[in-house]
Amino acid sequence: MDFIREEYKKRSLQWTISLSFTLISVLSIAAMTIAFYTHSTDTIRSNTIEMNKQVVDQVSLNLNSYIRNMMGISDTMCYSVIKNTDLTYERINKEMNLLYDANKDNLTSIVCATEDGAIIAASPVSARKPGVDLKREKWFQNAFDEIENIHFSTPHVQNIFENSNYRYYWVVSLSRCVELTNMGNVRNGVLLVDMNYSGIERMFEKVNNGGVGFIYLCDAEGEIIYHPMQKAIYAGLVKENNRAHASHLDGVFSEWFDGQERDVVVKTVGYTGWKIISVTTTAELAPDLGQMRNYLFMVVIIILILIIFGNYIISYVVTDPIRKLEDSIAYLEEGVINEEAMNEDDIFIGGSHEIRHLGRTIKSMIRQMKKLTDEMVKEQKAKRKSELDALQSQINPHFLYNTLDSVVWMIESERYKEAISMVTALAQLFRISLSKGNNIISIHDEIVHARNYLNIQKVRFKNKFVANIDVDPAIENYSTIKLIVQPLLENAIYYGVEHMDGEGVITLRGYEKDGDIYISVSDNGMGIPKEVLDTLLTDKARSRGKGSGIGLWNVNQRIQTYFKGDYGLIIESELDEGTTVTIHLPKIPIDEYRKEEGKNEAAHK
Amino acid sequence: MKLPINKRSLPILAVLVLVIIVAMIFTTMGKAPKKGKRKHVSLIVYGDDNERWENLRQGVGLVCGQNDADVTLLTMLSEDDVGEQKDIIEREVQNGADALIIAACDSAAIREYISNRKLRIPVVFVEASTPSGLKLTDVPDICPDDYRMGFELGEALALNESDIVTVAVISGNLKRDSVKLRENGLKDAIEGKVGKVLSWTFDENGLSSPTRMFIQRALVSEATDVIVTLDNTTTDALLDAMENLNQSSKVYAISTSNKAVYYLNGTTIRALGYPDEFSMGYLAAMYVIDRTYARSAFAGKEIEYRIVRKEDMYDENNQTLLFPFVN
Repeated sequence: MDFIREEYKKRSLQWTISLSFTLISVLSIAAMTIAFYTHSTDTIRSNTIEMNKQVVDQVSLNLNSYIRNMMGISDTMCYSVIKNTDLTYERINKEMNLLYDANKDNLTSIVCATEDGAIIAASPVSARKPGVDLKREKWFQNAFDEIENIHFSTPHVQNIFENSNYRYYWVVSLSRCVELTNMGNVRNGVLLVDMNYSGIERMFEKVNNGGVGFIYLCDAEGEIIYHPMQKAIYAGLVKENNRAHASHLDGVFSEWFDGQERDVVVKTVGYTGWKIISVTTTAELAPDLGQMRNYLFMVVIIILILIIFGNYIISYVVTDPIRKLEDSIAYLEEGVINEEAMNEDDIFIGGSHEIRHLGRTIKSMIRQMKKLTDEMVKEQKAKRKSELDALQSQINPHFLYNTLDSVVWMIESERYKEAISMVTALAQLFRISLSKGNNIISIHDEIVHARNYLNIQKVRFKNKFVANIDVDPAIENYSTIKLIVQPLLENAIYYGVEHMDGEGVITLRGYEKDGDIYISVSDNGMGIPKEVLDTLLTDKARSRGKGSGIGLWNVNQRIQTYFKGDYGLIIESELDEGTTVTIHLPKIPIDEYRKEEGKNEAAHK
Repeated sequence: MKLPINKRSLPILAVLVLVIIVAMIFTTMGKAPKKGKRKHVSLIVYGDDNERWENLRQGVGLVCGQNDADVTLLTMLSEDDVGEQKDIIEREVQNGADALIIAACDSAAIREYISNRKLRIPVVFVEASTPSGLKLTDVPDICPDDYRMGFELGEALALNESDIVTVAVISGNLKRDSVKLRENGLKDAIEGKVGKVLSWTFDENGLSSPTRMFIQRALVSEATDVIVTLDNTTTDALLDAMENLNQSSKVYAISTSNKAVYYLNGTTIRALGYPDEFSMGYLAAMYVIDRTYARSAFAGKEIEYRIVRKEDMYDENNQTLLFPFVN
């Protein structure tokens, strides 16, 4: 369950809408289908029951008529013949034969017997089977139970008379007690009318041949008179709930019997108390119900498919603008992570009014953020430039003190010309350092500045090294950041040649290569170990303090702050051979730079 | 607008297609029983007497009627022509019968034939076709306990008759295991309980008239108090022979013929063994129909039989067995 909940949470809005709508639709359709199916099933069942009731009523009418007819025969014999005849003087065979002939399709025999079991008359005339005692027959005994009634037996084989060709007859016996008159004396006798069972059988077979379910007939006690599976029931192969059915009043009821649900219609046949019972198992309705179920199933499936597709498309239309908006924001986020510029035009604006409004709001927000960020970046950049420039502009107090000390020493020793030259160099050094506040100066000025510095240092270090300056005049009018060569020279002097035993050589070169400007400072000093070399331009260099190459790091940072791209320092060093530090700069003419700078300042103002 | 189908939609589409396929299969299966063609069950029996098999046919017919099946009763020209019965079986198979119910005229031969033929349709034997003690499961028998029936008839004989009577047992159609088993049961029951047991064995030729002639000759040549017959043909032949000779002997028989029932009502037949052929047909048909519709089928129920006497032949239970509802 938790897994489903988690999975559900992870799904997209479209999936959620689509799934939720689909679930609601499925549940609604399922509920409607079940209601419809139940209603239809009930209707089919009630229609079938209604139809069976009509059939049962019809059969009841026919059977009633048939039985009335048989009772009519019995009544005629009883009241019109036997009662009016004194058997001492008259016989009743003639009337009996007439009645038999008139109804022989439905009759097997008519018999009149005394209460001792002696046959007085019978039709058709036939030999009585030897050894048959009528008094032991059930129909005979029944006749004396309620002497005013006609008694109906259950089906049995008629066994009073001999039959030719080994034939036998299944009959239903109507027996009644009659008054036999002999010489004016009245004594009881029994009148038997054997109804041909096949008449009843045919009547029921006809209705059982069509439709669903079956109809059977039993007496008031539930003894089966006719059943389409009578022999199978007698053989114990099929079960029937006849006793329970017989105990029911007329009407309709449902039951579970032998693992099946059945609808039962019960109707009592007038005088006899027999019950006509119609039984329909719901399984028999299955073909109709099955067809309806299949039809419903197909319709539901088609509707569900349409709903699922509909839901999917609607949810897509609703959520697609949201997804696009989300994608554009994600794209923007990715850009920010990758330090690319925010572009508010990438924000998607589309879809419904609300989503368009949301898009516009986000766009406006990004525009504001972008503005603020740009300003912040600019401020940071300016601040950084100022810091780096200020750092670079600082004149080492030792350098100034030593230089001035050298000048004093020259004056004291009356070397006025050298003192003037040194002071002049120092003045030029300061002039270029100031450069009217410009941080970008021409390479020419930078080289002049470097040359002055070297001159001063050469005096100070008493010509302990030789300085070669080889700058291509063609590059002198291109731009450079001021005071970036001097720190390299300072490093070359202090860490390269100062402690050398022999004469140090410092070479300053300036040249153009592949459209860029290169200024290199080489020394033939002791070189830099590789592990130090690898960290010289990293942030670690900042924290190592004096003599650690902070000047190099600062120069590199300044170049990269001013000129984007692959510009900066390249340091190459071989131990005991020397070090070359190369400044890599873009090729920008100083006039062009000044012009561009003027435009930017104007725009800024 | 771009078509809204992406990788995530594929499972939904797959489920929908699956549901449609399931729905179609469901629909097809739902209609199958309703629209399936009617089955044809061939009931192949020995002898040429349709009426003799009426009970069996009714049992088969009741089941077939409830299961959209037709039943065809196929009799032979004789009682024991194995070749003819094989031809009938072959013809029915060729004609597309969906199931066979066979009352074998020669149990061993027909069982072997069916076993070798390896039919792909369900087959069931009615009446015993498997020798006692040997149970083959590929083609089941649906039959009463023939040995027990013969034994109980023998017990009735021994109970009713004195211990000095001469009993003639007419042996015929012994190729039918049912008859053989009945005879074994009968002889086991009366052994030592009657005076003398004669075996009247006639050559099997499948014709009732020579059988009757044989019995007539036996009747006049050997005196006997009690005669026992163990199948319909022999019983009817004996009754005809006795009628012809105007002879009255006590008869104990196993038969389902109307003639036997008629003579039971007289004084000739003293006890009649009567197997419930309706149930035999019903259960045999139930078995083959279930197999035809690939439902689980069970052919294990033993068929009931009764030893009926004149005094109780009209009992409620017995009359439904002895007198089928055919008028």
